[in-house]
Formats: sequence, C-alpha cells, structure tokens
Amino acid sequence: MSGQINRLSGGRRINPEKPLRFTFDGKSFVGYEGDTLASALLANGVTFVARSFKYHRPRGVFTCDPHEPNALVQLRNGARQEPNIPATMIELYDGLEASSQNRWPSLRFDLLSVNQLLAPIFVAGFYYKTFKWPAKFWTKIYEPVIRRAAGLGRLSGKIDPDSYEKTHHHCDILVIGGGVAGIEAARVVAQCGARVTLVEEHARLGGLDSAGFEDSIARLEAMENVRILPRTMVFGWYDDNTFGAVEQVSDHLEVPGANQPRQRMWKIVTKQVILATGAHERSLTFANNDRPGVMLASAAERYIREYGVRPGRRAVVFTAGDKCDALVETMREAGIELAAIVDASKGEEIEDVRGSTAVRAVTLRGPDGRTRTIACDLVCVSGGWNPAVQLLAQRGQKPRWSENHQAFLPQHMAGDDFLCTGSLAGLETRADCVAHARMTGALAAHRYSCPASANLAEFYGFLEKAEASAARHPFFESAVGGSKKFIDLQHDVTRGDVALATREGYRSVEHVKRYTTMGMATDQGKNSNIHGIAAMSKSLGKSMGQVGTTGFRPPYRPVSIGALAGRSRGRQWRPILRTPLHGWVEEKGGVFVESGLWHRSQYFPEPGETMQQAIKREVLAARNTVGFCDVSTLGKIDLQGPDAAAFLNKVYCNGFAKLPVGKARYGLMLREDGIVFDDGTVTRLGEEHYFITTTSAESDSVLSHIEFCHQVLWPQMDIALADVSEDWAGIALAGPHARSVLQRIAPDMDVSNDAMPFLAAREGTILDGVRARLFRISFSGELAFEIYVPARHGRALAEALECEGQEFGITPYGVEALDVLRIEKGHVSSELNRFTTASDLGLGMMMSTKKDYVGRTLSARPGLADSDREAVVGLKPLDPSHSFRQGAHIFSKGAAIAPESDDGYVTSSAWSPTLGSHIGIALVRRGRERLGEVIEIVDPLHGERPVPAEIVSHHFFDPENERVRS
Amino acid sequence: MRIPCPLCGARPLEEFVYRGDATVTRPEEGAPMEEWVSYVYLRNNPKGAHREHWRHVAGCGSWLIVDRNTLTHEITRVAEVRPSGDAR
Ligand SMILES: [Zn+2]
Repeated sequence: MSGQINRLSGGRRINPEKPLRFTFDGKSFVGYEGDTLASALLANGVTFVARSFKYHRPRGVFTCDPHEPNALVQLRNGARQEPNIPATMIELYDGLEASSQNRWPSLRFDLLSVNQLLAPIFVAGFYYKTFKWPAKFWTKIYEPVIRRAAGLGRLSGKIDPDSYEKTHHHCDILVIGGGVAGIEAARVVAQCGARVTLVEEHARLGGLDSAGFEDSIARLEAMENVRILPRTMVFGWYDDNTFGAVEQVSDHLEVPGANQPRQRMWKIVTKQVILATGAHERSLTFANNDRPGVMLASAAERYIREYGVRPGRRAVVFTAGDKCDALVETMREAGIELAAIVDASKGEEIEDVRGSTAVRAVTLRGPDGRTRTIACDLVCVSGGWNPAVQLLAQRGQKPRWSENHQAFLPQHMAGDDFLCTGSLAGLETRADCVAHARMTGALAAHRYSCPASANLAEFYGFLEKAEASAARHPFFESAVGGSKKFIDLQHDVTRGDVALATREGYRSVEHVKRYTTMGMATDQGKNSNIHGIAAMSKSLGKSMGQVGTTGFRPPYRPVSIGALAGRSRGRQWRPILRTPLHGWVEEKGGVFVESGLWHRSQYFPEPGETMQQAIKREVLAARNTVGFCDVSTLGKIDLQGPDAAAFLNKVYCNGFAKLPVGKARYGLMLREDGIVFDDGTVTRLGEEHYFITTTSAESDSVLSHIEFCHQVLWPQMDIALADVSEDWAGIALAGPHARSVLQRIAPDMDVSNDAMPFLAAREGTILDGVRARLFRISFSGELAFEIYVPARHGRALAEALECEGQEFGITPYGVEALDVLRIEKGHVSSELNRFTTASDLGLGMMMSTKKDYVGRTLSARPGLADSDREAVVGLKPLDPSHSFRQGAHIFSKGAAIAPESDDGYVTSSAWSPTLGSHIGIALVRRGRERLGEVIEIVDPLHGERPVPAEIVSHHFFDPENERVRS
Repeated sequence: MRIPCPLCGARPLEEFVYRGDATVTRPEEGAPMEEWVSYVYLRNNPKGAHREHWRHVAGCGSWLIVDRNTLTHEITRVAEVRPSGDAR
C-alpha cells in the first residue's frame, strides 16, 4: 500500500509495529497505534478533511487539540454514529470508520459551496436581516434550505446501544491539567499524604512537551494517594468546590468492552484545587487563513515530533514575534524545507494565501511594502498563547489583560481554595512552569497541613517577575489582504463581519458575539474570541482590556447528552413505586398503568376480554355484587398531639374541631392563594390521634405543605406528624355485599350498620390477628369500606378477600373502573387541577366562616368569587353512544368555535355501564345556572365532530346517597 | 452547592427543596386583603444577602432558614425554623 506518504520515523507516541486500518469517506487507509484520526489522515497525505459551516470552504486540520475548529467528523456508523467529533481527539483503532460532514454530495464535489458566491448575504446578523418576513417563508424556505446548507453532522436517530454512568469522588486536592506543571504540582503536593486527583483530558499525561518528565510521571503514577484520570475533561466548576468531569472510558475503542460504559460522569468534591489548565496557541488574522495547510505552529511541531507526521514539505512560518526555535529545529530534523519566517515584529506580514483545496503559495509583504510570492504547502501560524481561563471565568472571574504577555490572564491567581500555575498563569518557559508548579504544590501541601499559615508572597512574586520581564509583540492581524480573513473558522465569521457589527453600533463584546455568532460554535471561541476582541479593539479605538472577554459558562467543552443522563434512561429513567399488592396483581394478570412514579393496577382482563369489556365487568361488579381495589397509593399521614384538632382546623377549609373519635370526615385543603390544593379524609382514631389520607398525586406536596404549616406558620402548636404512606396497605371494598365479605374477614369486629354507620372508623384485628383500620368511606357511591393493614399483610388481605368473597362474586377492579365509578357518582378528582376554587367544584359550602384557615382570605378575592366562573357540572350526550374526550371544549349551540366564545372544558369522561351512556364532568361557565341546556362538545384537536350534550348535575348516580348509607 | 443542615450535616443541593423568601410573615387573622396579597405574591429579588426557606426533603424533613448570598451562593447561617429536641 502506497499509503503513508507523509509518515516520518520516530514519532514518540507511534508504534509502527501495530498498523491499524481505517476508512475516511469510504476510502481505506492505514495508520499506527498511537495515532489520532487527524495524525493518521495527515500521514496519508489527506489534508482536505472538511467543508466549513456557512460557506462550505475546503478546510484542513488546524490544531492538535480538543477545540479543533475544522476537522470535525462523523464517527462510526449505525446506532453508534456520532457527529461533530474533532479528528484531533479520536484515538485510532483498527476498523475505525469516519466521514466528513457538511458537504453534499461529496467533500471534493460540494454543490453547496455555491454559498461562497452568496457570501455578501451571509454577513453578520444575516438571520436578523434576511428572515423578517413573510412568516410562512420560515417553514417553506428558510428552515429547510438554509438549515440544510449550514450545519454540522447528523445523529443516527437510533437508540444509543452503549451505557453511561455517573460516579462521585472526593479528594483533598484536585489538579486540573496533566501537562508538566500539573504533573510537578501534583507530585510535590502528594508527598504530604493528601488524597490527590489529577485530571487530564488527553489519553496520556505530558501536555505539549513532556520530554524529560517520564520519571516524574512514573513516580506520580506509583503514589498510592494519587489518582490519575486520563481522557477526562473537567467541564464545570460549581459551588463549594464541586466539579463536573466526563471520562471518555471507551471512546477510543470500536465497541466498549463487556460491562464497560462509553463515558463516565464524575462529580468531584475537593478541598483545594490546583489549576494547571495550560494555554491554547492562537492563530493570526490574514486573508485566506483558513486554507487546508494553514496550521498552528505548535500543532505542526507536535504532529512531527509526537506522531512522526509531516504536515507539509515546504513551510512558511508566520509569527507575531515568537522565534519558533523549537518548530524550526523540529522541521529541520524532519527534512521539511523552511521557505520563510514571516515575523510581524519586524514589519512582515502575509498578504494572501493561494490555493483552494490546499495551500500552494503565500504572498508576503515586507516592511518596505514590497510583496513577493513563495510556493509552499504548509503555513505554520504562531499568534501567541491564550491561557485557558475558562474554568475560572465560570466562577465569575473577569480575565485581566496583560500588556506584557499580550494575553488575558486569571484575574486572581489564587484564592482561599485554589492556586493557578503553569502557562495558565502566564508563564512562558518550561523552566518557569516547572519551578512555579513545584512551589504551588508545596503551598497546597502547606495549606493542607495547616491552612492558616500559608504565605503566598513567593508564589505571587514569581508570577509578577515573569510578567514584568515578558515583552510579547502586540500583533493580531495583517493590515493588508482581501476580504476572507477568518476570525472564527468554525462559524465562518470574518474580520469584515466584526467590522460591520461595530459600524452598525454594536459596542459590547457580548453583543458582537451574538450578532456575528463569533465564538458560538462547539469550540466556544477558544480559537476565535481573542481575534474578535482584537478586531473590536481596533474598530472602537479601545484597549483589549476595555473590550474584555465574553463570559464563560459550563461546559468547557461539549458534553454528550448520554453522559448527562447516565443510567436514567429507558426503564431506569426514574424510580418505580410498587404497592404491597404489586406481585398479587401480576399473578392475577392485572395490567399496570404508570401514575406518577406508581405502577398501579389499571384493570384485570379475563381471557379474551378487551380493556373496555373488563372495565365494564369490574364496574358492574362493584355496583351489583362486590369489588375491591388497591388504594395503597394514597398518601397517609399520622397526626398526634394536644393541638391536632386545632391544627387540622388551620390546614383544611372545613371544620374539624367537632369530629368525634371513631369518625372520618372528608377534608378539603386550599392553597394560601385560595385555589383548591388537595382533598382526602381525616379520621379521628383517639382524643389526640388522627389518620389523614391525601390524593396519590399530591402526597409529597401535601406532606411538605403541612410540615411547613407546622414548623413555620404555627410552631407553637404541640403536634407531631409522620408520613406513614408506606407503612399501610389499603384496599377499598365496595358493593352491596361489601359488609358480608368484610364480616367474614373480620369475625371479631362488629361491622353492622348500627355498629359501623357511614363514616365510622374502627381499629381491630382481622384475618388471623392482623392489626387493621376499617373506615366506612365510599368513593364509588356504594356501600364501601377502606381497609388498612400493615404493608406486609397487604397481599394476605387481597387473597383473603378473594377467597371469602368468592361466593358473592367478588371482583378485583383497577383504577379505570375506580374512575368510572367516581364519575358516575360525581366525585371530583381531575377537577382539582390547580385552577379551581372550592366553589367552582361545587364544594363552596365546605368553607368554614367561623375560623382562620390557609386560603380563607384570598379565596374571597373578586376574581375567585366571580359568578361568571366555570363551575363543575355533568354532561350527557343527547345520543348516549356519542363519546367525547377529556380536554374537549364546551360551546353554546351555534356559537362561533373561537377562544372568545369558549365556555369551558371537559375534565372527566367515561362510558357508564350503569347508565348505558357516555357521561362526563366539565367545568362550564356559570354551569350551575345552565342545567338542562344543550351545548356542543368540540374537539378539533382530535378532528372529531361536535357532540351535542345536555348539562346535568354531575351526581349522575344515587344523588340521594342512599347506597352509601345502606 | 451544599447546605449544612443543623441535624444532618453538609448535604448536597439535590436533597433540598427551595420555597423562597423567609422574611415574609403570614398576616394575622382578619388582616386586610392587601396584606395577604403582599404576603402571597410580592417578593423582593435581592442581589446579595437573602434569608430563605429550604426543606431538607430527602433528609430529616426539617424546614430550614438559610442565609444565602444570591450572588456568591455563600451560606452564612442555617437554622431549623422550629427548633427540635433539646434545642427547643
Ligand atoms: Zn437534615
């Protein structure tokens, strides 16, 4: 295979014994173990790897870093396909498949590169200027066409087959960055015995150049109190020294190993942090500075030295003033011809870069204004260094412009719990970085042992001296050259765009960023912001420091949604709550439905039965013989104390002072703003002992609310509350034979109508000595009891009911039948929708006038007492077979179907087997005055024909309450 | 962010729920409507020191008064609203 035409010998990371095959855009190549996709492509002479975002210009590998702006590729195929991955961060593995993005139909022949001709349209703010009107153009033209033209890679649309996990980690000292500064700081601080964690985003430690530090790394790795996390990127610094990091556990493999996650999210809590995040080399602004073959000087040097790759054969170096000695020496050793060094500090500039899919030549302009053209295929750019201040800026630091360093440095190099070192702190030589890092490590160790006495004078002194002696030449852009001077390679923002934005009146760097989209791509401005600031500085006549940087928020680099979700997906996306009867329901073939976190029994189909048939059978059983239903999901609160009755009087709108022992009462709870919050029952078990039930949906919020009432509003009340929801299993037993069945399972208790009338409550033992609470409460409208037993006996209770009720035709029913029964009876439930008042619900008479309670005063506000409000009524279609849905709207006959004439909406609907008709409950404007009126139920959302229906009382079934008292 | 619960120690934010301003007091019975409206709806949005109600919902269940700087998230004092046990 002719293959690796640009491979040199001696790449430090490369193992030439291990060739690896890979494909790019379907073409096969070979690289070596140790390569990245970027280095392997360069070794194979592939320098044109992408099309740009807006103009579809040819682009090549620009950096050796995670914030690569050009060489973004789509990695893998099928469900594992991942878009927008920097080729510079993809560790090569055998069989790797990648493809270029943002081109159609192919990289070389890209029809959309016609966008380049439209460049005058795609200027700063073009979204705001172009797409104002007409509105329908958005969906027809702008979205489909422009979005297609401007974009990155695509997701597969399939479910990610890999797993992601989360972990927590605690340490004494966290070192961020595994370059030489991080290594040395970690090694020194670890000698004090503290638990040290070193996080490095690359696969191995060493940073830009680790030559000579192999020993240090080995010693660090051998320390037992040191944990090294390679391939891990700290993306956020949160309150109380909490850090978010993502470890790319198996991204460097074709497929994760058995039981291996693809990525792992770390939540790291530390006492101190040493920031050694380093610095990013920056480019320069000149015409056609985006051509494939234009590359950062440090990247070119690293490709040669670390990967044994020749990024070009004949190079021009363009520098802001740095001598680039290391690069020159490396190129010489590699046999790369150095055609020219263009040093801006000597008045030399690049005026233009020739070539389209590859650099062919550059035009130079000397201090005398004379130009000459030099053939070359590589332009190495050295614009200076940007310290990686992003994490510090997340904590609110405003980076400080240093004129000497020509860079934004950390505003504060140290704080109570953090220290900055290395090139992040502005240090320019390796010797300085190492010396200061050791000093920093010793300081952190000192703080760890005796926090109070650390002296930072030496630490600061070192940095001040380094800054005083720094003398970077201020240079950011060539004064000459054409229009295509790119500032943001990834978003195709040019020097002209920034100039236009300032001409149009933009003054703040934050506004220019948003208007031009500079710095808003996946590299988050790591390549571009500094040049945008420099351009603004020039246009506005302000200093770099006056323009300032934009704010930085987490994440430092893009984080995959999978890592954020972790295990919370599919069945694990949230917890599941199961009642004590869950296993029994399963054995009975019951169907479950999710209701909040609960899995509740929905219905119990007999063989061959449809859901509707099952519900009908279950409802008729409760009406005609006897049925039972799991109600364990209700919230249950135990309330005790001398002030319990007074407390209940405060939290419920109806009175509880006179509730006798052994009686239950329906209670209605309001919010302080007067809206209904929840309903349930309160049972007085003893002089100072009450048992409260709440709805299943609101059980947590009610508990929180009444704890607030107790602890905050009325702390002087002598009561105690306990959430006993999980302690009790509850079953509702309903139907004409309910008492007979109950008597059989509770032979020791008198459950006759005299001994236990409607709303009576008794404690006793049932089955074979199981402690139980029996409440004669009915939600169905039938003679009914709620039976509570300790949760562990729930199943036994269900089995006993089934067995003893057999001769009465006992039938278990689920929440569907439960809902039908309560709609037939006219009990409100889904009508408590956080918009309704007690009066809306037909429960206005429950609101006591004799006491203060939560919600009393504000429920009297004119808007809540307005007679024009929607009130609860029943709906009966004129044709009983006409169905309608919850959510359908109510209109007067003949009224226009428009929001202005909307008269309310359906809150509950069901087929009533008892009445042989569809029925519903609705909130209808002035509903109680409109009984007998025929209205129309309208449901355009589901495309259904209007259903004419009569407004009736919502107490469809047994309005005299004879059955519940029988 | 971590909140030092007086009963449970420093616990992560996820264990708590936030309610809001702890400086408002529920009006007396019979107070005019305006006082109730202001109690339920009107809030300052201070930049800096603030006194707030939090509940340690995934811990002891206590309602807490938390003095927190809304700008820096620094917490200077945490106390139970209704002192429990020996503290009462
Ligand atoms: Zn607590």
